Parts: sequence; structure tokens; C-alpha cells
Amino acid sequence: MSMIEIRGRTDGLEEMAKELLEEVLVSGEKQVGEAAAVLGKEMKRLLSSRRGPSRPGEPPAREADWLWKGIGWTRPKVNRQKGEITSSVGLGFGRGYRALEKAKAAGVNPFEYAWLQEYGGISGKTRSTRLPPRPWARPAEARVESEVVQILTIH
Amino acid sequence: MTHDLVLTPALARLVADPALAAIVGTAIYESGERTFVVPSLEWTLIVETPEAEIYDRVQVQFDVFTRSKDTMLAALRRIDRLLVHRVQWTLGTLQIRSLKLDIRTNPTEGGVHSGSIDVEFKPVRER
Repeated sequence: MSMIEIRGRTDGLEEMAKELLEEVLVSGEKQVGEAAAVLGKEMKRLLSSRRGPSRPGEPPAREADWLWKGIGWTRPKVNRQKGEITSSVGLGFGRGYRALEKAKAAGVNPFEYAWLQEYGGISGKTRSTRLPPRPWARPAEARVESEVVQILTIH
Repeated sequence: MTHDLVLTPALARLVADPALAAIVGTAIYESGERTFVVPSLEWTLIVETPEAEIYDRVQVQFDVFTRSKDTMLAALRRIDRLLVHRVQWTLGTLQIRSLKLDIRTNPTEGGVHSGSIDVEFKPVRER
């Protein structure tokens, strides 16, 4: 008998857990979307605010509009089986892909260019020019981290 | 936390290391501050948050450039050992926790092998 009682209670908890998960997923979808927008907007801000030459370690100067316009984020996607909500943020996501057409038309690989700005590298015709990092993604993440954590916290 | 509080003692540790000196010599400098040479070790400040922030930290990217892959990897391992391989340590006047955020090798260009390591320094706060 006690076995049955225990099992019944376990079933009840599982049902409760399912209901709770469903509630969290519904409210979490909005929160994840909001957090993605906060990060995406910060990336855009860093990429669009500086004019003129930029120093190593600073975000790149606004030379190409397609770079900051190419930043976007996807709508939150709910995976009920895994209990996950994901939204992707960065170059070419969401509405960002449209802006990348300009770069491609100009013969530039936008993803290589963005990577080179973020991490630096060796470039140029003779492959001997050092391009120092001009990070924009990592600083954006760091700047909005506390805000994102606050958004994602269930109150 | 301002970056010079951790970077000055961290760089002193790198400069004083004989194994690293055997690979890059004295060419340890901030990226963009000197003419690019090979071999070398460049550093770039990536993130510096105000002390008032909850997530107070300094993130630095170290880039190694050498003529051989083996020495490049050896230098990266050495930086990792000197700056990251400890849970908590005293750096200058601060108790620091350092964390390896990323380590990567980059495409070989013009015979130059390069690799990078991103390190985060966080002050240890007493609760």
C-alpha cells in the first residue's frame, strides 16, 4: 500500500512540475526575448557610435553601416522536451541578414570581417599586416550581463 | 577594478618568466603600441567594468605570434600556467581569481603561427 501511496504522490509532483515548467516557459519566452534584445541593442550601439579611427581594444569605428545593421536576434524558440528557451544574437540573425547582402555585394565576407574586428589577426595582401582586436561582442556581453541576469530571474 | 591593478603585476610575471622569454624574447607589449614583430606576445584589454558593478572584472586577450606551431602552443601553455592555473592568488595588492575564458589557435598567415588566450581577472570579495 505504501508503495502505491508514494507513487501517487510522485505522479502528483510530476504533474505539478509539468505545470510549473509550462508556466515558466510561457513567461520565460518573453524574458528571453527581452534579454536578447538588450544584448543585440548594446552590440549595435558599440558598433555604431564611434566615428573616426579607433584604438586597439576599442570597438571598430563606424566604417561600414552593414556591420551594425547586420546585428539582429531571433525570436525565442521553446523546446518543451528539453525545457529550454533559446534566442540567438549576433551578426546575421533575425533582421540582420538583410544588411549583410551589401557586404557580400561589395565582395566582403561579413562573418570573417566581424571576426577579425573582434579577435584581431593577420591580414592584408601580403598577409603580414597585424590587425589588433577591436572587440564589440565581448564588451557588449559584459556590459549587459547584470541587466540580463535581472531580466531572466524569476520573481 | 581598474585594469592596471591586475595587468601591471600580471605582465611582470610574464616578463620575468625564462621559458616565455626563450620564445618571445622581450617583445611583450600592448597591441598597436609597437611595430608588429614575430615572435611576440601582445595583450589587449577587452573588458574593464567599474568597481561598483556586481560583475567587477577585467578581461584581457593575449596573442602569441611565432614562426613555429610548437613554440606558439608552448607559449600559450606557459601563459595559462602563469596566469590561470590557480584558484585564488595574490596579484600585486589584490586577491584575484583568474579564469581562462577561451583559448584558440588562429589560421597561419604568411608563415606566422598565432594563438590567443582570453583571461578574466576578478577580485575576491569577502562576504
